[in-house]
Amino acid sequence: MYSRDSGTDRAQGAALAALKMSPRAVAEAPGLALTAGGGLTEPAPSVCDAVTAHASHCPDRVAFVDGSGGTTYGQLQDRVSRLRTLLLDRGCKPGDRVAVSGPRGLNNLVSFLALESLGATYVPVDRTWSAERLSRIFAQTECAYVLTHETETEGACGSPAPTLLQAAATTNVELLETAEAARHEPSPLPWGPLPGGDRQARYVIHTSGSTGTPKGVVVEHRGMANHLRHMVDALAVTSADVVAFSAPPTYVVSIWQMLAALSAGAAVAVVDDFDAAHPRRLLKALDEHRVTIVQLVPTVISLVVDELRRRGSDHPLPKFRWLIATGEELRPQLAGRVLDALPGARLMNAYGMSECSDDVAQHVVQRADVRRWRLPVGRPIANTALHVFVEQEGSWRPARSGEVGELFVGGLPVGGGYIGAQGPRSPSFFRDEVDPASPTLRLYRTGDLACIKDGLAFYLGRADRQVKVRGVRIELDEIESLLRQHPSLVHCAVTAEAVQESHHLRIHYVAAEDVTPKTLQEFLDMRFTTVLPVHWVRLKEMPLMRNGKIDYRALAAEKLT
Amino acid sequence: MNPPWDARFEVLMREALRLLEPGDPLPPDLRTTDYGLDSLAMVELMLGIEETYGISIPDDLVRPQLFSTPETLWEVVDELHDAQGSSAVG
Repeated sequence: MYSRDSGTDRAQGAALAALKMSPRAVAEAPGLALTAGGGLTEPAPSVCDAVTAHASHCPDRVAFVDGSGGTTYGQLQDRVSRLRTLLLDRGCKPGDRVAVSGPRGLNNLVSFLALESLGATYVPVDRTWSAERLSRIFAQTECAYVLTHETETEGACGSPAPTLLQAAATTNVELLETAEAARHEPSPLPWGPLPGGDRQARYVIHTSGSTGTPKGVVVEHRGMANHLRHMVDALAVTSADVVAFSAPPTYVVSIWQMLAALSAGAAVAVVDDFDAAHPRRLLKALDEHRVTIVQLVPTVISLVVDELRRRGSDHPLPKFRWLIATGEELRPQLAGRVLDALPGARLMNAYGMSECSDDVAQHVVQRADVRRWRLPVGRPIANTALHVFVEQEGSWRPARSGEVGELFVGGLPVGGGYIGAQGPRSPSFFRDEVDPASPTLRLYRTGDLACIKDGLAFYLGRADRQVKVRGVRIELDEIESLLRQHPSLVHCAVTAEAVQESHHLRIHYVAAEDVTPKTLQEFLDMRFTTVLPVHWVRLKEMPLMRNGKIDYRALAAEKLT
Repeated sequence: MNPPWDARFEVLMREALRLLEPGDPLPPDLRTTDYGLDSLAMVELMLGIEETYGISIPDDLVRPQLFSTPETLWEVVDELHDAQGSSAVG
């Protein structure tokens, strides 16, 4: 069992400020929270040990499949082992942060596992990010190396992306090619226990911070291991399963998509970006790779369900046994369509965030849930506490059953906080005074509105102007503050309109001179992690309310022409 | 100069290219990704085309290259429309 009180390791949590609560509120909170235990061993196991074990017991079992064929556990272990040697030769030490760039595939698994075996931290980046953004990330994470596997893809001209080269040169970080590892000898076994222990930062996920400065979210090894273990248990993953790796490697969900299967001796099948967005290609890829577990955002789930309906009954149904919805709110109506279209599969509604090592709550959707006005996000995952707190006169108290408040997360998943942009925003991480035996002693404020009823948590939207666009969290205020830096813009205001499962963003602007939407989009893309699909609406003047503030209602009421 | 495609295609294409302003020309060799055609917009465009023309674009033709310019897409649409259009009726 994972010990609930481990002394000095909790110093970081103890150093945080406590959430302002009366002693009575602190005393009442445990009774009103949703909590779950779990059987994670301490220290938390490493994925590279699991891979080594599978490679020795069943070296010919398939660990990874893509369009060009399969890779066995024996071959995977060999590649990890050679990359480990290369990294050791370069002096890679426990605690080093190493950026990893390249299209999703086998090399993401190999890079992660080799870094994990050395106690180093995996920092996935994307070459389509601007050189400026990449430079900032390399600098603020004090990145030791950039591991790149750009060149192994077709169409690439034999050298890493210019953005990556430029950023590495600017920040004086060495660029290593993953392919170089083939020329190194395998690293002799055994590799010993995880250097640095299981409190160590295992990976860093970047989100856009305020005013466009990248913000790195640190996930600890134990938080990741707890989530992986929970996924294997909750989905009952066995060696017969194939899990789709369909998310970009820079998204937190890609971590379990790559690693849960490996820890259980199952296979990972990669689905590329283009196939992942095209319902027909996606279904074909899932079928060809015999995928049994797939995670998609509701926008894509909706497209897949439409496609299944269009196909009719003469087409065999996809073989997956689990469909997991994540990233955006799954609405009951879509859930009902999924249950109709895929009678053989189970549907899971997952809720989480990078700050808490991915999922913190999950719910297996039942037929009766479809009649609810909202689907539950369900019960906490293993070793997790979910609290709903209400702020009253500057102090927080636990919400009563069914009462709406803000959702807080405690327990093993709560991560190590941020690297980089802190900004003037109020803090998100607090010292957990509700559960003095919590292994992390940290409490994360999600900024989401929620309630707890009949032992289930319900997500009810954001407490601020944050929306999800295709599964990516976007702060509307942040887009505005970014755009105000553009010299040609006099005013700008962003509105979000809920469309089916996602949001459509509209940017209303007043420009001093001739500036095209294309230029503005490029300005925005340079500064954001993800390309935002926005519609640009040029106005002669900005509608204002009497107090001089922008009239968002009037803007939202305007129709696109 | 008349575009090589019909008015329906022009409308669908312009809807999909969210960074192309209504007054801007739509040249056959325009790089669609520069004008906001991302993966989801491609799916919507493809479904719109299939519905409008009553055709089905075979899976093996559905690749990013198909959408690279209006011209590459139109060539396929035009060909499929000729081949499938008559048999689709009835």
